[in-house]
Amino acid sequence: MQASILRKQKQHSPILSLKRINPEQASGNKKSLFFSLNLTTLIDAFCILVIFLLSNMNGRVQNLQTDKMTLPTAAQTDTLSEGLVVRLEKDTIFIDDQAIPAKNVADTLIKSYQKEKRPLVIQADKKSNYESIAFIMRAGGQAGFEKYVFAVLPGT
Amino acid sequence: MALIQGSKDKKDLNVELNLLPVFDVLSVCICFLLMTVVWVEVRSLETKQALGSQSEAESVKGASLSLIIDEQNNLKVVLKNAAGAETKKLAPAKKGMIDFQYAENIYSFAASQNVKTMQILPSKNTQYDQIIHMMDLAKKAGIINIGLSPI
Repeated sequence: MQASILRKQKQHSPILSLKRINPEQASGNKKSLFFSLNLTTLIDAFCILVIFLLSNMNGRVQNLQTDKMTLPTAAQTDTLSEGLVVRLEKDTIFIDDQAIPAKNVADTLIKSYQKEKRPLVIQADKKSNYESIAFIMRAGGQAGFEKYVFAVLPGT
Repeated sequence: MALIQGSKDKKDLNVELNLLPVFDVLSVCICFLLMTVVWVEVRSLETKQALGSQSEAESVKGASLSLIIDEQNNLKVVLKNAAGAETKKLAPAKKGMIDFQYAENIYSFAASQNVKTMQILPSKNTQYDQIIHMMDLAKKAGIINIGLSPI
């Protein structure tokens, strides 16, 4: 049974079918113009690449915009946990991507904290003064936030 | 590929799968993922507000380290051991920056004294990246609980 299947495979292999397309091949020793490309290994490599890229993008959906500012660098860092993102751009404070006037920051944070208790992720330029960071922290303290997370870039 | 046929009109047991559509789908997938991949990974440095919101458990007295940064970036260090004895030191700024080398030495000493809690009190002019660097050095030395005092 096994032998017959193998024989059949040999008789009807793709190479033989190519010989039918190119009759010269069957008669002479000339090289065929057709070649069969084995796509299986290529697909294996692609699958590995897709899995790697998929595993790399899990849980990275954050309202973090690093193109408008330079984040400070730190070596002893943790994975960025999900939280309420407060972004400080020059003198404008963005809470979850919405520009909020300074006088309304505390109220907005209180409302957000009442909705969902999560850490406060602070994102600011590395040249910012502590005064502006402390303002956000004070507002967070008023709202009840206990855990503050500073967004940083990994480095030395 | 579809040229393989069984002999004498019998159905062949071998099936050949057309891999080209799979190849196309995977190519599209890779293009999409490469375009949406996050090249710059943002990490985090956690802290707690040192004053105002700490819980009772956290305010238990023990060995602690306090760092006060003034407007000229001079560093005032207050190290309190478990018995309550205080050691005060002052590190002047170096070229307008905080003396990080001195801070690192203090952290190492504090860690050897089993200090696990510290608080930083920066001035309003202290640059954000300097505070982050101070916190980073503290974590490196083994001080886990870092508090940041609001102004």
